[in-house]
Amino acid sequence: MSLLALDRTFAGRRVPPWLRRFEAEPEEALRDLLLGGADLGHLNPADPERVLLDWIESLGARIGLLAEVDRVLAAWIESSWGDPDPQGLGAAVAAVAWCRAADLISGCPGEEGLSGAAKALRERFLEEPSFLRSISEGRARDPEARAWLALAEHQSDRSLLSRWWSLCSLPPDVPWYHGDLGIYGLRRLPPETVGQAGGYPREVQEGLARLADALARRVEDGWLESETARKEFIATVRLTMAAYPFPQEKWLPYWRHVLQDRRLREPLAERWVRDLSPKLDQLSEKGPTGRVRWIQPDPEWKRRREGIEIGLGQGDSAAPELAQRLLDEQRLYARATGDSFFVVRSACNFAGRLRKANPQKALEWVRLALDLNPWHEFAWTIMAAVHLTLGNLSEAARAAREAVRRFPNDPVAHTGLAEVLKAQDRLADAEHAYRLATTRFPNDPVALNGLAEVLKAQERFTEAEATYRYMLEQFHSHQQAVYALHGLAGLLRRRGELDEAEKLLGKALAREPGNDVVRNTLKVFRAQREGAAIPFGTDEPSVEPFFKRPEEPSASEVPSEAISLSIPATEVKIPISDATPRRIVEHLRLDDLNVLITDTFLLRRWSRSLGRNSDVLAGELRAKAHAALESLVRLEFRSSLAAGEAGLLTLSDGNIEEGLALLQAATRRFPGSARVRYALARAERMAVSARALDPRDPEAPVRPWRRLARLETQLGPVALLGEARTWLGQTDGAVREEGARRSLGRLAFWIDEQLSRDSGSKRGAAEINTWWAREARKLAFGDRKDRSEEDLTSLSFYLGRVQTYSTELDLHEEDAVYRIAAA
Amino acid sequence: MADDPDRPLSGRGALYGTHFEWDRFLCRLGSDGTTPRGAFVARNFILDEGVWPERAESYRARRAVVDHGDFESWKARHGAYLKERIQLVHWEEPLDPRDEDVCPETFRFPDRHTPFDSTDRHLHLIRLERAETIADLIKIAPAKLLSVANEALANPASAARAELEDLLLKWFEARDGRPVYCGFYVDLEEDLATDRWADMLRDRLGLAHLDPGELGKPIDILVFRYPVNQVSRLSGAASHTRPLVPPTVLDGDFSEAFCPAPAGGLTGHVVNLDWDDLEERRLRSATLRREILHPKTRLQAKHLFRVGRIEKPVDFENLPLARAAHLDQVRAASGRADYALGTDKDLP
Repeated sequence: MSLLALDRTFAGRRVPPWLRRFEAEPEEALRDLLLGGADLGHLNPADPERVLLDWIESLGARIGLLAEVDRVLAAWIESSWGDPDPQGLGAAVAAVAWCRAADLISGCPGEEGLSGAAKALRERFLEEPSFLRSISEGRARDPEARAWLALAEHQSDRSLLSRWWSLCSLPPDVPWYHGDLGIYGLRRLPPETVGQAGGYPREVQEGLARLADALARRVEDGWLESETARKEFIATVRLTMAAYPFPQEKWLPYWRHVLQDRRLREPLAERWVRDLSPKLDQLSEKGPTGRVRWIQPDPEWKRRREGIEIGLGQGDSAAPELAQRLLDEQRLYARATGDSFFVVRSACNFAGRLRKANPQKALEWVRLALDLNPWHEFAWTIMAAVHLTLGNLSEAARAAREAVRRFPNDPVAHTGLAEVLKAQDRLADAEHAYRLATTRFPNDPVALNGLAEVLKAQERFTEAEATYRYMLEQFHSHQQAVYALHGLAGLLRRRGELDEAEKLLGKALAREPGNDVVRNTLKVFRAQREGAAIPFGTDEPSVEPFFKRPEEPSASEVPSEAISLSIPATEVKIPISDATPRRIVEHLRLDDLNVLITDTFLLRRWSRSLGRNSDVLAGELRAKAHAALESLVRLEFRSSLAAGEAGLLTLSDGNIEEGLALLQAATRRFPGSARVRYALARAERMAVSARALDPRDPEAPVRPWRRLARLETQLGPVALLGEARTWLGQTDGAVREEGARRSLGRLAFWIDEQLSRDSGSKRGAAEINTWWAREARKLAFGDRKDRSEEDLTSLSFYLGRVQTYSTELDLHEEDAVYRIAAA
Repeated sequence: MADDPDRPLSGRGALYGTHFEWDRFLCRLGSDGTTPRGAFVARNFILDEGVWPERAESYRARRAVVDHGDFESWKARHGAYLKERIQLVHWEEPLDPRDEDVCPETFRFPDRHTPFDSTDRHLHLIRLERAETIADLIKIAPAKLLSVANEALANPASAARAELEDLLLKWFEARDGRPVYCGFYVDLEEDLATDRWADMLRDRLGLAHLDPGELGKPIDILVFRYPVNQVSRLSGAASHTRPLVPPTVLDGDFSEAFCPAPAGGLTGHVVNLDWDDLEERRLRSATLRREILHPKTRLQAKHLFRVGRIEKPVDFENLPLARAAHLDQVRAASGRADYALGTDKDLP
């Protein structure tokens, strides 16, 4: 092939051998270059993508090298996506190859650059970002970051705007060092109008403010060292400011506005901004008022929102239109600033209020909220509730699962999922979900009541009665007692004990005279007793939820029809053949894969939480999980999520060596997957417990936990807990004692910091931290308030606790990992 | 082994002589020294006596000591070894040599003696970086980087100094933990005093891949000068020591311009790419310059020493001559008159 006419171009000079090969075998030559096997002669030590970029720069326009590289690179992206082990060279080589591919694309921006390859990368990456995450081990080998940068360089419209805002805001599943990618994306964002081209991009300023808050929040949440975050922010800001060199005209006024108008939510972020210039530190509290130069939230929004909420609740016909108008205003503000707080809060609250009256509109609003912030603490449960109202049970189930995964500390998420299962007539599964909820949240009356209800629905009256009576003993508040009294009355009535049932309803009414539901139920009972026609239904009416959030409805009312919630493992079509080893599952939708994995995860957890009390039930659940596992093991070579779950499921069966082997192999394929890393660390903890330490390398058993923390700093506390448990599981010895005390001391310190720092905070993330810290303390330290290594008592005390609560601790670790691990 | 027709080359390298197929593969690749398409790389693997047994075993464990069939396949496998064991993602200071997650194998055996063990920590090192490599990594235009660097160099009190500090921080965080190749300032001081210092430094440090001839354009570089004291420490090591080691074939990508040193007193030396220069100095042993590896280390704006541009193409056609001259000098300096005769006696 002489498409490139290299001989003519080089006019007698030596043609570099790689170019010669590329001319003859373009696909093979480029593949070898990306994978590091290309022979570049004496240029071998150079970065191969840099060498190719240099050739493109010096030759490309003349001989069509650029176009040919574009075609071949696009084809490579299509054929290699999803393969973590190209040519058996391992995930590290795959990661570097994808970095090189993305850097090539970045290096040739725009329509006249590697646009075909950019398009291919964008499609694949946005569809399945977890692939690059699963092979990204950290900042120094981060194909996911390089892909974002490549996409940033090739933006032809503003469709990625929300992605850049999201990166700047560092939601929990984004590594902290990805924040500046958002800034870079905003810098390369095409302007809204042609006239704005080449101007000063206001989004970049706003992005920096979002980044300041986001990094500061990570520090406040205890996930990131303050100095690391400060340096990252300062360096990013200063370099960005240097790229737009208008310090007096643009930057100082903007930062002044940020400080004076209190645009930052985190005090630490304010301190960093003040550090940017001495002039900022000397600002008065409120500067001179003048022309509004910056888009700002309207102070009236809060009042308007509250008024609309009341209107929606009262069925005011004008309220939906007013709500839409407010949402439109707030959405504009969010698009301009990346600050989605106002619009998301309004959308969630409005959706909750309008769920019954206009579920379609409510669905539209909650989708808006989730699109802008999928980490809003109420949005997923509202989404589930809206879908329940609409009868979309599959969608309700998806949302409920997401709620549980993202907010494991939220009892409403757990009981909401159970309600959905109940709505699907999966009463046994609903029971397991409720039981798990009552284990995790022993004082949650909704969970207990739900459990009693689902037992009653299965005609297990004795167990249901015991649960109701336990509630009556346990809780003393009016509402909780009314809830139990009402449920128990219904049960007694079904057993024909009408006198006793009426008595209980009477007690309920005495406690809450205004409760119409109880009053109506009493009427039904009396009518039945007197032989009259029953005015409605055949059973007692459902009691309005007592424990719903102010902003959202409960998922306790469900349609009667039952449809399949999950995708049964046997129905999932996984067309994998040896002939197409590289492509990830073609026809299995990624959403479906996630459903499959989450179902397996839930089954495994239910079986674990039941393990002590009911071996038979736990075994049944594990059998169900195994059915799902059969699908997962076929996917584990291509999905880090499947690999991690398959490994944990194997471990839960007691097959430690098999699970260990599975997970070791999975870690080689997906070194960037926090789920796989966690599962492996756990497997190794199980495998090495009660073995003597190797005196040559006594720290070897705890190293997997340290790797997990390096991979994702947010999992630092999980790693400390894992490390402490690993040390405690060893046979006796001085090294073990020292290691256990060190990790327990550090964990105790972190817990104490969290509990003191987060007291009074209303933030969702902070609540999760507090919850995680509190539970970890309760399980591992009991009533002790250890703050450091010096406070620790005898190790036998902690050993006893971690042995007694090993199941709970495992679940607690998993909660943290599954919440944030995107791969 | 030189009498073995399957293994016509010989050497005392730690990676040679234990696996027949691998030996034969190296000999096949290394037998044609006139067109060094992988030949010098293969010879270096036969020769390298500085590879410690643990490292040789690690290389074997990664299926790298086999008959790969061709140079490209071997290069890919070697690259995989580097990515997994040398060019690590994570980095911590001090480096724990027992932790394979953060410490490159290069530095994982601190009990092994190296010729640099007693190096004074106030001695200065010289390191050359291609400007575009830095700029690519931190997503900044190379021209901008050069402008900031030049300004910071010319006016240490300028705002550019702070900007350069930020750029170097970003660069440090973005790059992987591969060992850093450098030289002693005292070995290169004379070269740096000339007008064509950039070309000369490239040649003296054996950086053949910085070739404007092959890449089709001049290459801008930044040169850093910093004390040994600046180098990252190993945990458990004495506070005044730093991990400085001579490079081996297992520490970096394949390089035709690399040549290992014999075991013993030598420290590892760079092949001078400047054949003309070697012709003039053929008999002067002073042209040998030490080559050193140290762990990834944070550099600051104050360590920027020069900004320059390499314009002279590499005379790679005469690389065999440069290697031959280099080996002559190594033999003389080490007292090993037969060193590399089993591999390179065909050189001019």
